[in-house]
Amino acid sequence: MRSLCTWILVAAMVGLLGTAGPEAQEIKGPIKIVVPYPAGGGSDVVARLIADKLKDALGQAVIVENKPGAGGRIGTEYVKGQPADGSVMLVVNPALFVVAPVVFSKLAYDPETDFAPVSVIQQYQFCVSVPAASTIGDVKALIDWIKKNPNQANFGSPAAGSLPHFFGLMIAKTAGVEMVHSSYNGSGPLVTALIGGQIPIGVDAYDAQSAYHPDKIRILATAGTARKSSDIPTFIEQGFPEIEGVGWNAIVVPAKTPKPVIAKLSAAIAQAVRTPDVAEKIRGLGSDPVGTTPEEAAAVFKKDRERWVPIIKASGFKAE
Amino acid sequence: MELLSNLALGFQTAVSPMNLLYCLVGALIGTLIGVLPGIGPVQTIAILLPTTFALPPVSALIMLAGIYYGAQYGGSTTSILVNVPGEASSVVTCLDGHQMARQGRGGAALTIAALGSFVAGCFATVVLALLAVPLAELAFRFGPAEYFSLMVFGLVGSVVLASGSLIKAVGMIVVGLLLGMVGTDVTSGAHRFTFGIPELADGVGFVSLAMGLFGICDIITSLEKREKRDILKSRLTGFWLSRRELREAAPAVVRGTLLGSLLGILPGGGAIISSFTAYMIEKKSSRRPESFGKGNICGVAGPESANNAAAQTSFVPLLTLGIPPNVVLAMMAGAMMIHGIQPGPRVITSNPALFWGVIVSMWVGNLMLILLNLPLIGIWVRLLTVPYRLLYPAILVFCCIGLYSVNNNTFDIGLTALCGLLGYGLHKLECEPAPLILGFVLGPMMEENLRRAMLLARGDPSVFFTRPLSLAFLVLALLLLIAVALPGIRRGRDKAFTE
Repeated sequence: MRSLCTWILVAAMVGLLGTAGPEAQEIKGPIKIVVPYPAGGGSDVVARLIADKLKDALGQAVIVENKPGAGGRIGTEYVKGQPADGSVMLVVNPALFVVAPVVFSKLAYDPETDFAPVSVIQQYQFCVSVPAASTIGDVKALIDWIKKNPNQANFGSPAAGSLPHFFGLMIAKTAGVEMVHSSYNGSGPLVTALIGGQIPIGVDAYDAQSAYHPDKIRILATAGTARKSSDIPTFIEQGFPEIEGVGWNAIVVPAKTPKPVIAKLSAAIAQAVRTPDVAEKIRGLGSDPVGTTPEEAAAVFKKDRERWVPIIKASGFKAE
Repeated sequence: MELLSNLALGFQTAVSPMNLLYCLVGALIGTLIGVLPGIGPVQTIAILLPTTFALPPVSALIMLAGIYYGAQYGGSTTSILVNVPGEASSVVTCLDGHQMARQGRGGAALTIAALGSFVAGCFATVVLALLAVPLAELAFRFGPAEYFSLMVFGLVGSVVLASGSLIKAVGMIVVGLLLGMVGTDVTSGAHRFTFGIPELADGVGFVSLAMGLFGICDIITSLEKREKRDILKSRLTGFWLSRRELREAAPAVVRGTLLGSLLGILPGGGAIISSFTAYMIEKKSSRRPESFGKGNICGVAGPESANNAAAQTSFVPLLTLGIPPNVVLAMMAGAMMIHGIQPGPRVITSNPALFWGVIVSMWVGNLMLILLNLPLIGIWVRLLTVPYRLLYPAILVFCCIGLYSVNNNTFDIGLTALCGLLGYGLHKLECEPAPLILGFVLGPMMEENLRRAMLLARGDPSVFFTRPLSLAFLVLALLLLIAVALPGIRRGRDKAFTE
């Protein structure tokens, strides 16, 4: 039934476009956006929002396929072997493209040689927070507290080897203090522990914590160059210019995809992301819509490798 | 009186024709996917999530919630009739429910499961309406030490799940713990026992394990025997309960409901722990503990009421705090965010119609479910009259579809086949799979919390004894252990088993 609908849709699209003249970079449909995580998660929702708009821009049926498993590595490896003609795209993030190559000795893909960047679709900030009952009011007070209470200086992150984990280490390293890391099984358990006072410091993406600020927890700082919320200053404003970093979701394709095809996809994606209703929904998820060119995406990947790899290596973290 | 006006607002929202329709659709889909082995509410909600984007947020949530608790109803059907637990929380229903079906009392088992679920659903709705906010605070009292001690209590108690040798039950728990170790270690992020297979990085799938150990294994063992259909000869249509059964089951329903309402609030395995604990309480408090595992109706009534109550009160942390306690509710949180509603403490004040509408719709949905399910029981039971040569291939096909849809990966199907062989081996050795499942579920949580508690306390184990809640669970576990180990009592226990 579903495939029938798809075919009717495809046929209708082809019929409509038949008169549009020969396109230099025709992409054979239907186009797949592979999300290497289960349906319903953050990157899945964004992929579905974009897929809806790409349909019209590319004149093809665009479907989202979930290939979850092994923290996204199964889906990533799957797309590596798919046709490089623009018909299969993949949603990736720093965990897959920056952290995994450092912490896995045998990784089935190489982010730099197996894939070509298309566009960064959204960015999200990290933040550091404390329970609302805590007396700590800003980052300086937090650092002082850590120095005075080395036995209680624990920080929680949503997962071991996640970017918030390494962001916590970045804070400790920059401030010259030591914190013990405890990973939780996701953002929900972390915020529960934080509200209940089971752990004194939490580090996570801003959108995972913003709903509880300021009634249940206090967000001390966000990690972007500009404020995310008018009442929460950035680390930079609080005198820590080195503490900066954002996470992102980006679209990539298999490496051998022709340049003109990538350009066409990138333009369509950037346009989709900037459509007012899509942009509004992405903001509603707590992140910022971006929509870059392939070159800008490559620059983001490179900059983040330079930023995070030394911290990850220094932590000695290994997944195997 | 504020409660009354709130409930009135909820009724206004929930019984609007459109929301009634979505509630029915959700409950119906939920029942269906609950009945189909393998396809659970997680996959269904994932698939349907995008279609709810176009609905008003209240209708979307009412439908998704309907799928969730509808699946709890339907899930017991396959557990009872074909011994395939669709979800972790219905594993214990297999133990006595399927035995009842084999004795021709499948209809009665389904009826008590539905009635128990209904009572539990109604009670849990009231709990949600009255106590949502104060109850939410309970979750915060549970730090790593409390969780660890609760799990210890659960594991010690799980030996009563076995109706055979004590040594074998303990052995099975240990095997379950070992299987639970496979995958990524939460504390360090290291891969354990994955043998370089990326699919194993997430651990052995629960659905694969439960389906293999129960359903697939059951099919293999049945093929050994000649087709014997006693079920046909006995009262196929007798799906109403006898007076004695009703008298026995009623207190079990009440106990299960209370337990489930309380434990459902805990993030993590609320529904699972509550169904196992309910079974444990029924067996321990019964005057005929030896009849458990052989078709005791309390073994169905208690856990089924508990898991339904827990499924409903698990909405407490989501609706009051925005914290999803399990995967299904995490997806509902996603649905709320897509509609521009930030799940969190402000939902009650900023969207009262949504909050109370969803709560009241649960009661409405439970009513629909019982009206829907009681007449269906007669039809479900007829399923047993289908010859095995047709029924088994059909079950296998549905299992494969369900398994594939979990991760869109064939690996899970192969893993299930292996688990089926493991189950067959255990069956030949007369080892029971239920304690293994509990060890598998509780083990990783127990380890995670033990290590977190020790890490945060800088290696000081006194943290387990100085926190009152944690101490209470440990004392309870110790008492239970003494009860099992005391020679006098133990003789009684062994005697009970040999009978």
